[in-house]
Amino acid sequence: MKLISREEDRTLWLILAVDREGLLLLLEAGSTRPGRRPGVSRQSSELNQRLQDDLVECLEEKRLANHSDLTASLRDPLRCVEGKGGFAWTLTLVEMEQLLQGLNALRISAWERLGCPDPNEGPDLESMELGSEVLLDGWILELASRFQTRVLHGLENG
Amino acid sequence: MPGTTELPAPQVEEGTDDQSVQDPGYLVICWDDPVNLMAYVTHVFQRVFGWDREKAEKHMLEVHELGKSVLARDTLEKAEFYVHALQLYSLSATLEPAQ
Repeated sequence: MKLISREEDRTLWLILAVDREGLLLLLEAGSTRPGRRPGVSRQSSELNQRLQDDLVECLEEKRLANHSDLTASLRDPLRCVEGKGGFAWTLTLVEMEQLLQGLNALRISAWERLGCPDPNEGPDLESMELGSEVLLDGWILELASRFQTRVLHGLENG
Repeated sequence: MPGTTELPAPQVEEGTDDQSVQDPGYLVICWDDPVNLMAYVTHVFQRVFGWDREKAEKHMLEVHELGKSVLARDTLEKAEFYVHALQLYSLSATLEPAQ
């Protein structure tokens, strides 16, 4: 995924067919796997009780909406135009942020399900049963990180 | 200093409307975690607070090296707004009553 051009509030990305397919699979896999339930406060249980439910509900709604919007955008032939060598994908800056949020939510939830391994060492595979869930989470973590790095690199240098 | 008049020390009255005196507000704190990328955290701080890159990086490094950084001090409503925004990006952010 590579940034081609950037205007005021629009970005145009070249995304290879295989990457588009990977991103769609990633969003699909992640949309059914809820992430962590973050706390509002570490010091005030009163604040947690009062605000926690609203926050969790809001984050979950937003997470699902992000995945749904991004999937629709990737499948929209007017927004993601097939050409030679891949697709030209147009995203507004708001959608770029949705993409970054969605990718990071996928990374974090997969990382947590893998037991929060040290990112430099990776998961402790010897102590894990390498079933399909573990492999799926490993794949989600790896692929979401790759897309996130490319998007950030594009935005920083574009 | 010659030619100047010494002013009395300012006094804070009880029951003043000054909100900063009545209500210390809430701190928005971002906590370190081992999984979020440094470039990502910097980007999020820029987006959520409208900071320039230098300021965002300073706070990102504080989080990374000290374990946390106080990003803002504000009313409950605004602090809650910031925490929602930061958690939407999956950062470990909380609001704490300022002492």
